[in-house]
Amino acid sequence: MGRYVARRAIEAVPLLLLVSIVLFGIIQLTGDPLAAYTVDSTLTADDIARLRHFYGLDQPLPLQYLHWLQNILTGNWGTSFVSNLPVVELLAQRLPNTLLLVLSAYSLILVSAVVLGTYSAVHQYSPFDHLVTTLAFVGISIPSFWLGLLLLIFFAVQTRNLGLPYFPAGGMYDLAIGPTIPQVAWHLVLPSITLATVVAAGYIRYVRASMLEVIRQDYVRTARAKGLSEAVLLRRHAFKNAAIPLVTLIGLDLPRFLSGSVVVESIFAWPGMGRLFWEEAQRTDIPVVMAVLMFTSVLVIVFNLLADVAYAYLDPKIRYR
Amino acid sequence: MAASIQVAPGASTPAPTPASATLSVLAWRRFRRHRLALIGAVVLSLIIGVCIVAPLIVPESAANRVDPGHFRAPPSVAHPFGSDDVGRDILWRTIFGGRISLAIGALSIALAMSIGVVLGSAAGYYGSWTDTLIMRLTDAMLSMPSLLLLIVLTRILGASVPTIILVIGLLNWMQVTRIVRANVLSLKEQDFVLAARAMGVTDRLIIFRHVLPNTLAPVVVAATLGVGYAIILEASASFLGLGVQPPTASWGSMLYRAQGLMIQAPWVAVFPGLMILLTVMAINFLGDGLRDALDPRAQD
Repeated sequence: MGRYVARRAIEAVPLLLLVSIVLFGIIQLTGDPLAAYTVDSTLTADDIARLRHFYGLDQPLPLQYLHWLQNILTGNWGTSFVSNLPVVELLAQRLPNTLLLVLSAYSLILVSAVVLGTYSAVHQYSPFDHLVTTLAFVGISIPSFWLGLLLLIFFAVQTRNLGLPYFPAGGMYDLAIGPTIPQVAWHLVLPSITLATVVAAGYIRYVRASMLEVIRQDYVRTARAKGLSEAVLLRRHAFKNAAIPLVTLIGLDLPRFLSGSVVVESIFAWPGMGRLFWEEAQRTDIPVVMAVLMFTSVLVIVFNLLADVAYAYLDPKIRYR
Repeated sequence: MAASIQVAPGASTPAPTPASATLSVLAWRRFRRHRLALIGAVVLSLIIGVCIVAPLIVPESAANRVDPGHFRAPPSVAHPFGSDDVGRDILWRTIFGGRISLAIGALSIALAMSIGVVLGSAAGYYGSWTDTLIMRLTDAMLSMPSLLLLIVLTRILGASVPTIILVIGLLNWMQVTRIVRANVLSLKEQDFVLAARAMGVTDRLIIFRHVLPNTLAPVVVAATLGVGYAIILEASASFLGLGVQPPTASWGSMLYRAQGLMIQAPWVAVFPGLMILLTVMAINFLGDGLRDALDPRAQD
C-alpha cells in the first residue's frame, strides 16, 4: 500500500508540471507586463530596458518559466493589481469558506444519492422511482445558476413577501449577529443545495443502477435465504458494494464543484474563492485570477490522488502494483 | 457511417448482425423504441427550427427594439414572454439568444471533436511517447476547472462569439480523446487491421478508412452530450457577465441582466433559463437514446 501511494504521488509530479506550463502559457497570452509603462512619457526607452532587466523579462522564455516556477513553489504568488495585497493572503482568507460550501454540498450529495438511489432501486418502477429518475434527469440538465436564481426568487424573495419564513438572499451571516454556527448554517442552505443538485442527480442514477445490479447477485440471494432482514441485507451486503465507490467517485468531481462554486458564490454573495475569482476577473486582476486557477488545479490533482488511494483502500479487489 | 461498421469486424469478432438487416436499420429500430430520445429529437428539432426560421421573418433588430411604455411588462399578447427593463421583447431575445447559444454549443463541440479524434487516434495508433505525451496533456487539462479557464481566457483574448467558440472547443476535447484512444487501442490489434497493414496500406489510410469509422458511434454520443455541456458552460460564463457581451443576447447573458430585475419581473429570469433546461434535457435524452441505439453489443 505504501508503495502504491508513493507511485501515485510520483505520477502526479509530471502532471503538476504540465499544468504549470499550460498556466504559464496563459500568462504569456496576457501580453507585455510593462505595457502600462511604455505609454508613460516620463520613462525613457532606457528606463524601460532597465525595468525589463530588473524583472527578468529580457531572459529567454524557458528561463522566465523556471524563475516563475521557483516563485510559485516558494509561495511568492505576487500581489493583486487591485488591492495590492499578497495573493496568497487573499486566497487563504477565502479558501475555508469555499471548502465549507463544497463539503456541505458533498455531504448533501452523498446522503441524497445513497438514500434516494437505494430506495429507487429497491422499489424499481414504483411511482417514487419514476419521480426520482425524472427529477434526476432534470437535475442533470438544469444550469446551476438558473436553479440558484429560482431558489432565490422563491425561497428568499417570494416567501419574504408573503410573510413566510425565508432564507437569506446572500452573504455568510447576518452582520448584526455575527458569524455564529446557526447563522452560517442558515446562510449555507440555499448555496449548498444549488451546488449539490447538479452533481447529485448523476450519482442518484449511479447508485440506483449499481444497487439494481447488486441486489440481483447470488450472494445477496444467499444472504436473504439465510434469513437476514431486508434492512440488514441492504446495509451490510448490498450497500457496501454499490455505494462505497461513491465516496471517492464524488471526490473525482472536484473540478465541477470548483467551477460550480464560482457560479454559486457569486449568486449568493458567499465570500469564498469562487467569488474572489469572479470579482477579480471582472477587474482583470490577472495575478489573483491566475492564482485561483492554479490553486484549484493543484487542489484537483491532490484530491484525485487521495481519491485513488482511498478507492484502493476501500476496494480489496484492486491490487497495488 | 453504420454501413462501414458492418464490413469491419474480422474473424476474431463475429458480427452480431443478422443477415437480414443492416446495422443502421437495427440502430434506427432501437432508437425508435426509446420514447424519451424521440421526444428529445422532436423538441430539439423544433428549437433549432425556430432559431433558423425566425430571422427570415423578423430582422435581428426586433430582439433589440425598445418598446417605450412596456418596461418590465408581464407576459401578454404583445409580449408573450414579457419584456425587460428597457422594454425589449423577451420572446424575440430568447429566440435570437438561442441562435447564439446553439451556435456556440454546436461549433465549439465540432472543434473539440476534431481535436479529440486526431489526438485520440494518434495516441492510440502510434503509442509510445506520442501516447504518453497526449494522455498526460489530457490529464492536465482535465485537472483545470473548465469554467475558470474559460473565463480567464475570454478575459485575456476578448469575449467575442468566435473567441468563445474557440476557447470552449479547446477546453472540451479530452473526453473524446480518451474514448477514441481506447477504441483505437483495441481495434488496431484486430485481424482486419493487421491484414490491411500486411497489404501495405499507409497508416493514415488505416486510421481513416478502417479504424475511425468503427469508433464513430461513441464519438457521436459524446458529441451530442458535449453540445449540452458546452451550452451550459457558455451560459454560466455569460451569466457571470464574462461571456457573450451586449448587445448580443445569449440565454446566459439574458439571465445576467435578469439578476437585478427578478424581484419586480421574475419572467425575465424564467424564460431564458427554461429554454436552456429544455434544450439541454432534449440533448441529454437524445444522447442517451443514441448510446443505446448505436451500441453494437445491444441485443435486439
